[in-house]
Amino acid sequence: MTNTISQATILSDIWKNFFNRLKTDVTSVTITGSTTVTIQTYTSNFPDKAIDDKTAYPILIVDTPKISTSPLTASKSITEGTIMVDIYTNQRESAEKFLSLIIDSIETYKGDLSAVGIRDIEIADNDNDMVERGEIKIHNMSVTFSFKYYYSKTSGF
Amino acid sequence: MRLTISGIDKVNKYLINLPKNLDKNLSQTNQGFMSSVKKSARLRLARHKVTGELSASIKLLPTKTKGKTKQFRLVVDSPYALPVEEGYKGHWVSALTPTRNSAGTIGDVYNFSGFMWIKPSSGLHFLRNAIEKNLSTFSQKLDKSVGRAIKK
Repeated sequence: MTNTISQATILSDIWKNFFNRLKTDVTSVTITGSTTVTIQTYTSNFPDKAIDDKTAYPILIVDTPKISTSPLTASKSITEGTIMVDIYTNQRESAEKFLSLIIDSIETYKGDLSAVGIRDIEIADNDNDMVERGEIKIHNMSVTFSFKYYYSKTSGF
Repeated sequence: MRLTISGIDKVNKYLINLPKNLDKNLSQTNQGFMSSVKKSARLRLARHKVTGELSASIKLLPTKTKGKTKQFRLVVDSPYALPVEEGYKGHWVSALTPTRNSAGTIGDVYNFSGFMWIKPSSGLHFLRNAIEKNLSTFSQKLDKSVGRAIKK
């Protein structure tokens, strides 16, 4: 499930670890009236052309991580970063339930992510929004995770 | 006589690091706030299925600032931004009017010939509403961010 992280492809490797984890764990929720809502689209960017297509929802978006690096010891550096996960649905209830599932999935598998070097994962922020677009309502909930990634420095510089 | 205060090294280190931590946390909060405004604005925009130009033109760019806390600006780089935000009077438009992008003419995009009446619009206020929505939580986010820097 986890992918090893290479320094040359650090952003996409960290992204893949979060994306694959969520794609496996966050699939559907049951809302009032025993309706099961299943995620239709997993992506890294909002699919612009599908915004008014009700059948494209729910959409789960794992954004590209933002990182910054600072020295830790003589031989090790630390990369601190954040990664935002968005869920767009047509019902507030399902958006809330999906958000809980997202947080639970990352919390549960912190150990697996730690094994590839992604550590100290915490919830840095969360947000929500609602927009009416013609006949459809779009509920957006997002959570930003902060994390640290430790790696050995290239020596000689 | 030598006076030693135990723990002063940590206090010293804390005081040295505090401005750095504040800059870092406030920069992150600024970027997070502006990203949320961008996301909200794009969510509020009507999209044309062919172009989506206006929505794609919303970009977040860093500004040059004297301080170390990073600041950002939201750029909407499309000629349609102002009329869509603020509204326009009803008007006739010719099918031959260029779209000013790769989509060709207005007639090509909306599939008509001759002239089309464009209904007046009071403005979508996608930017204003996006800012208003996110401003309500910005002070809380700043509080949290400063708090985290102080606790480090």
